[in-house]
Amino acid sequence: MKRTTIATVLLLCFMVSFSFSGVVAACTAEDTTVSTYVSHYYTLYSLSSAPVMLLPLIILLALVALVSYVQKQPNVGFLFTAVMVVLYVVFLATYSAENRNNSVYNILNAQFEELGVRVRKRDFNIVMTPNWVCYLTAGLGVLTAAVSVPNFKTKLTRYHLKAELEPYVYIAPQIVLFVTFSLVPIVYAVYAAFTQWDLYNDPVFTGLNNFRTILFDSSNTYYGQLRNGLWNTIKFVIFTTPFCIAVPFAIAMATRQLARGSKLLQAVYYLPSLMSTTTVMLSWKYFFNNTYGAANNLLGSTWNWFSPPYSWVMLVIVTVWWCNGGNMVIYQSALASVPQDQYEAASIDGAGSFAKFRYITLPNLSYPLMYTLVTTVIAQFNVYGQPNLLTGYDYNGATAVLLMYIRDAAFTQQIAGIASAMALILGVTIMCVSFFQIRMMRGDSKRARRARV
Amino acid sequence: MDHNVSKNARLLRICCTTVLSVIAVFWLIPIAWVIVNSFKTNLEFSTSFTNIHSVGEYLKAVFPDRLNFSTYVSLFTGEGMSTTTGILKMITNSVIISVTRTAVVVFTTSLAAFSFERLRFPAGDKIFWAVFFISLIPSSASTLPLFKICNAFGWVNDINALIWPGCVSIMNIFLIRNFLVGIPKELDEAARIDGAGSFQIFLRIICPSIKPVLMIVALGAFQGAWNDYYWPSIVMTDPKNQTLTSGLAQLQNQLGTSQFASMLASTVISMILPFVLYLVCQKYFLQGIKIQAAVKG
Amino acid sequence: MKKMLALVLALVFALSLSSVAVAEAPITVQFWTVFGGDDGATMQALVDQFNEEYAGQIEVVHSPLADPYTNLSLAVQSGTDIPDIMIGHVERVPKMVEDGLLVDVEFLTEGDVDFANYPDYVLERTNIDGYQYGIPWDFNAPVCYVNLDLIEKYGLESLLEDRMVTFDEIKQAGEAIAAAGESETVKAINYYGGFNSYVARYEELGQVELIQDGNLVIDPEVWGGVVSTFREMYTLGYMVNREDDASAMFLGGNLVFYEAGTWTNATLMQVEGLNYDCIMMPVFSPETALCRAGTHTWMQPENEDRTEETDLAVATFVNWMGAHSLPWATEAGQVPLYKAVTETEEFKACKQTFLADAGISENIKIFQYYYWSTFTSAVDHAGADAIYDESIDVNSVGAAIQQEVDDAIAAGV
Repeated sequence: MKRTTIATVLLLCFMVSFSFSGVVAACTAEDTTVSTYVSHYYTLYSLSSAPVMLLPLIILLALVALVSYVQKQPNVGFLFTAVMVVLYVVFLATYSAENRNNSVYNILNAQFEELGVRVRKRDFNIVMTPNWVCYLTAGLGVLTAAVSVPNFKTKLTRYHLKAELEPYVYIAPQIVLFVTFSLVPIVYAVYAAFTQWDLYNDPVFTGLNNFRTILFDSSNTYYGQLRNGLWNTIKFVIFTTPFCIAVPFAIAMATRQLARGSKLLQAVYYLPSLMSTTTVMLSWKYFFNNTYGAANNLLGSTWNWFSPPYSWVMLVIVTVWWCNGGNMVIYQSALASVPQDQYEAASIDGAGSFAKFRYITLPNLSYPLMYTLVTTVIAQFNVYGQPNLLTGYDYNGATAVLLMYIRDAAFTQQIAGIASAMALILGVTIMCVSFFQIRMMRGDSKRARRARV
Repeated sequence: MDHNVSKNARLLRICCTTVLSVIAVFWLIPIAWVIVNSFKTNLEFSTSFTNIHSVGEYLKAVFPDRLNFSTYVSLFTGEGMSTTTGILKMITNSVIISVTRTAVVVFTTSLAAFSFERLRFPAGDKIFWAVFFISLIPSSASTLPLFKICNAFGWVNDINALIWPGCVSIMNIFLIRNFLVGIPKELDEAARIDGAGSFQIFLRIICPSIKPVLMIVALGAFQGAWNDYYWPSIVMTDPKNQTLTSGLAQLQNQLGTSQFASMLASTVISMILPFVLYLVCQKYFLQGIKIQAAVKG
Repeated sequence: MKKMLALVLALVFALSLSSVAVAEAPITVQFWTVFGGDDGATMQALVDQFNEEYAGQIEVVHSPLADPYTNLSLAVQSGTDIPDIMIGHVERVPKMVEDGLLVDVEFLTEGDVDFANYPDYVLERTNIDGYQYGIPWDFNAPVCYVNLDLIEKYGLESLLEDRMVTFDEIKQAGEAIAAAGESETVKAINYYGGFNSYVARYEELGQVELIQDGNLVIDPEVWGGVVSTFREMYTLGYMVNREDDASAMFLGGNLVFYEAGTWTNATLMQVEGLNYDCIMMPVFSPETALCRAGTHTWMQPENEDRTEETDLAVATFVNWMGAHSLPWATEAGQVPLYKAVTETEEFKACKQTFLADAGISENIKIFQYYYWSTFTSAVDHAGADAIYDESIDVNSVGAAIQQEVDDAIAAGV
C-alpha cells in the first residue's frame, strides 16, 4: 500500500509542475524578434489548435488517477497514469512542431504591430520551445507510472490483474470515443458559458456576466428569450410525454393480438420514425397548410393550425406520429419477453385480464418503461425541429422552445457565450429531472424485485 | 370454458385488427401525400393547388394528371441539379457510414453494458452515471471543438469524420443495461464454473439472449447515421463526399414552391433503404428475449 | 462477430484511402456559392461550360452550400480545404474583412479581371479602407410581380404608367376588387415579410437613415408607420390572409400585386397562361421612391498556401463567368452586373432587369451594416404579429428590434 502513497504524492507534484510548464514562442522577421511565454493554462482555454485539446484530457486523466490511488487501487491508477504520460508527450511533440498556431500568432502579431513592423501572414514562422519545467513534468509523470507498475511476476497476480483491469478494457471503446468526441466539446461548451465568444476568435473570460444578464436583467432580450423558451420547452415536455408513452404502448399491446401475417400493418406504424426531420416537417407543414393541405381541405374547417392553441395540438400530433416507432419496438420486445407461464398460472388462479395486466405485465415492463420515460423526456427537452420548422417565432414566440433561441444565438448571432449559458441552464434542468426520475424508478423496481423473490 | 376463452381471444383479435387498420389509414396520410405528389412535375405541383373550393376538387388536385417520373429521373441523371454529383455516390457514402456506425455501436455498447452490469467493478457505476449525466448537456458550442478534433486527425472532408464521432452512444448502453437486468446471473456463474472467460460469456450467452435489443440498437444507430444532416453539412464541403440526407437537404435549400416535387421525390428515395432494413429486422422485435442456456466447453 | 467487425473496418479504411486525390495536370479551383435549387442548377451549367472550354487547363469544382460562412470560418481556422473563390452576400463582407477571412482581390487584376467591366456604385460597396474586397456578380432584390390580366379586368392600367406603384394605388386596386364583390377570393397585395419589407420603406417614410455612423438607429414611430400601412391593408381586406399561400394565389390568378424576390421569376416564366410583369416594390410616393437591393459578390478567402498560378486561374474564371452571365438573367431570373451583358438586347428584354437601368440607380439602395445578420434575426423574431393583431402597439415592434440588436452587441457579437 505504500505504493499508492508514493504514487499520490508524485502525481500531486506532477500537477503542480504542470501548472508552471509552458512553451516559449518566438518569431523573427526583418531583424526583429518577438517572443512570448504561453503557459499550459493559457493554452488550455485558447482552443487554437488540435493538440491543445489534449490538455483537458490530461488533466482529467490525472484527476481520475489521483482518485484511484486515494482509493487504494494502484493498478487502475497505473493504467490512467500511463495513458496520461503518453498523451502529454504527444502533446509536447505536436504542439512544438506547429509553426503557425492561431492564438500565438495573434499575440506575436500584436507585438510586431507595436514595434511598427508589418509582417504578412505567410511570412510568419513561429518557433516553439517547451521550457525546462515541461521536461520535469514529463519526468514526474513517468516516475508516477513506474512506481505504480503492477506486479507481473506470479501467475496469481497476473490473474488478479486481469480480473481487475478487464472491465476497463471492455468499456474502453465507448469511453474512449466519448472522451475524444463528446467530452472535450462539452467541456468547451460549459467553459464558453462564462466567456464572450464569437466562435471565431479566442473566448474572453467574463465570469458570471452572461448569467447575470439572462437571469436577472429583466429588460434584456435574452432574459425574455430564456424565460419564454424554457417555459415553452417545459410545456412541450408535459404535453407530449404522456402521449409518447401511452400511444406506442397501446399500439404495441394491440399488435400482439394480430395474426402472424400482419407485418405490413405493423410496418406502417413504424414508418414515420424512419423519416428525417426535414421530411417530417415538410409533410406536416403542407398537411396543415390552408391551401395545399389535407387537414382543412378534407375536414372542411378553416382553423389556422399554426396559431395557438391549435399549434400545440399540431405539435403534439406530429411528435407522437414521429416518435411512435422507437418506443413501440421496445415495448414489443419487452412484452414478448414476459414469460408465458406467469400468465397461465394467473389464469388458473382465476385472475381477470385487468389484474393480469396490473400484476404481471406492468412489473415485468418496469425497466423498459423507465428507460423510455427517461429518454422520451430528455428527447423532448431537446426538441428543435418541430417548433422551428412548423411554427417558428410567430404569435409572440408562443411555441418557441429554448433550443431554438440557443441555436439562433450561437450560429446566426454568433454570441456563443450567451448561447452556452442558456444551454447550460437547459442542461442542468434536464439533469435534475432525469436524476429524480431515475432515482424514483430504480427505487421502485428494486423494491418490486425484492418483494417478488 | 376453453371454447369461451378461444372465442374471446378471436373477438379480441378481430377488434384489434380492425382498429389498427383504420388508424393506419390516417397514420399514412402525410406520407401518402408526399409519395403521390412526388409523381407530378414541379410546375404541375406549383399550379395544382390553386382555386380549390371543395373536397372533391382537392382530391383531384392531389393526384397527378399522369404518372410522371421526371422528378426521380432528374435526381439520378443530375439534370437540372446544382452539382454534378450523382445521387448514387451519395447513397454509397450514406450506406458505408451507416453500416460501419451500426456495427461499431452494436458491438461496443453491448460490450460496455455487459461490463457495467455484470462485471461488478467498484468504479463502474460511478463512471457510468458520470458519463450519462455529462452527456445530457446540450452543447451548441460543440461544433467548433469537434471540427478541430476531426481536423487534427486529418478528417475534414473525409467520411471518417462522419463515422467515428457518431459512434458514441451512452443511451444505448443504458438501454442494454436495462434489458440485461432481466437475465438471471445464475447462467453467468454456471458458465464460469465451466471455465468460460468473461468474453466468452458475453459472446455465447448474453448476445444471443438479447438479440431483439441488439436489433433495436442496430436499427436506431442506422437511422441516426442515415438521417444525420447537420454535421455532414459542416464537415463536408466537397459535394462528392456528401451523404444522401445531407446532400438532399442542401439541394432543398433555396426553395419557394419552385422545385417542390423534386424535393418530395428526394424525400421518398431517402426513405426506402431504412424501411427495407426495418422489414428485415421486424421479426426480431416480436420475438422477445430468449434466455440462452450455457454452452458447455 | 469480431471477424465481421475487422472486415468492416478494413473496408472503411480502404475506401477512405481511395478518396485521396491524385495530383493532376489541370489547376483545380474550389468554388463555393450560396445558390441552391434552380439557381444552383443554372450556376452548375455555367461551370460545366467553363470546364469544357478549359478542359485540361483549369477545373472548377462547384460546391453550393447553405451556410458557407460557417464552413469558411472553420476552414480558415483549421487551414484545410479553403475555397479559392466564393460568391456570397455583400452584407457579410465587412465583418469577414475584420475577422481576417478575406484577402483583397487586387491581385486578380493582373489576370483577366478588369474593374471597368462592373458598375462603380456597386464596386464601392466592397471597397474598405481603400482595398477592394469584392467583385459584383448580380443584384438580387425583392420586386413586385403584377398580374396583367387582373389589371385589365379591374381597369387599373393607370396605376402602372410610371412602372412604380404606391400604397395608395394598391388601395385603389383593393377598392376596385371590393366594388366587384370579389374581395374574398381576390387580393390586392401580399405581405412579404422579413427585413425586405421594412428597410427601404422605413427610410422613405421617415426620410431618415437606418444606419447612422455604423450604428443601427430605429425610430420606433417611423417603423410603426410602416407596420400601420400593412395593418391597414389587412384590416381593409386587401391583403392575403395569414394562413393562405400567396404564391399559390398569384399562380392561380387571384393576386394582383405579388411581392417576391427576383429569383422567383424562374418559376413564373415557365407557367403557361400567366400574363405578368415585374416592377419595383410598392413605395409611398414616386418622388421619394426607394427600394432595397442586395448584391452577390465574388470574394476570395485568405489562404497563405494559394499559388499565383491558382490566382490567375481564378481571375480567368471570374472574368469568363461575368462575360457569360446572360443565362443568369434569362434562365435564373436574376440581374447580372457585367457591363457587356447588361447592354445586350436579350438582357433588356427580361422583365426583372429594369433594376440595372442607370436611371433607376438612385432609387435603389444597397444597405450595409456590420451586424446585419443580427439585425435580420431580430426582425424575424419580431415577426408579423403586429400586422394581424390590432391589440399590439405598432410602435413596440421597432423598439423591440432595436433592443435586441443592442443587447446582442453588448453580449459580444
